[in-house]
Amino acid sequence: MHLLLITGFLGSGKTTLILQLAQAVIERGRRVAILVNEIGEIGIDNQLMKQLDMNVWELLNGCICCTLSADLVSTLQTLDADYAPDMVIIEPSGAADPRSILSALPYYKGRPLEAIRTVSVVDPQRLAILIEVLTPLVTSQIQNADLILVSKADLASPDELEFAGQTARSINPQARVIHTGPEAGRDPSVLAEIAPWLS
Amino acid sequence: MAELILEPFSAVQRWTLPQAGAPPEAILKDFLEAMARNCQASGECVIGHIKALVLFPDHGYLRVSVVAAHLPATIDGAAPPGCTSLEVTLNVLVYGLERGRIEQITQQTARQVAGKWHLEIS
Repeated sequence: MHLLLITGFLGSGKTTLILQLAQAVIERGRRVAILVNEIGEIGIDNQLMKQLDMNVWELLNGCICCTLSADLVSTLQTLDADYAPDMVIIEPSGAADPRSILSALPYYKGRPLEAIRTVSVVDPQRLAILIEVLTPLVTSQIQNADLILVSKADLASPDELEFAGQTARSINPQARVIHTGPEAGRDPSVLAEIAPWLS
Repeated sequence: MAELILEPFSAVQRWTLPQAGAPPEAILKDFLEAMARNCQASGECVIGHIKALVLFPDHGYLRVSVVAAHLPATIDGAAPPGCTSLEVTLNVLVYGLERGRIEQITQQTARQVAGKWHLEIS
């Protein structure tokens, strides 16, 4: 089972990417499950995914990075036992720090995970202000990523895109940084970066 | 800026649009952009995400989202032609504003939009 963690600040484009990714996995004949932890009383993303017939499970009443880490592991094990997906996509809240999620994963005791990949979605239109006022959160989301997608290439200015790319590279020199537009999850070259095993 | 609180607010609203009025997409976009402006004007805050979802039969949906007061809302999906009744699920995630204040802003903005577009919001 492949695990894909999609992190990034609120409104950066995680859900849009996940919907496209999940569809791409399905079109390639694989089974995908989505685990969502949305902050707030009503899970809008969860509702949308169910409306589109995605296999989605929701972690409720807390933040996946703190109170729900144990729930995350047990839910993954249940998913594995009951559904045996080829890929699980985890969407933590945009207010979540990914470090706690990553630290919980070693406690997972289901089928061995073939790969754990973390993709961080960065919003270039707001990164400058967010990195200033929410420094620890935004920095951690970028730092703890294998791949960084600078989203909204169709909307951001060249300066915003340049700043986002440079900032991401300076925070996480090891990660690959790609600029993407609204159809990132349908772009074969982006898919190959996110989930090379799908090709 | 001091450490900002995040107190999520959610609501379900029922909208009744006038016949032959503006399309739901335009009204919902206007509503969310007004929400963002009203939140920003309310005090020292950072908009995380303000989003609305309306579901329709046959996998239909309309999702509108705004992430800053100075940026336009984005629209994904569409309402069926002639649709005048919407159940709008709203999530408001704004750092720096207490939940009670966000609720007030939501109600205030709903009144503004209802008056402007001649619709009923409950």
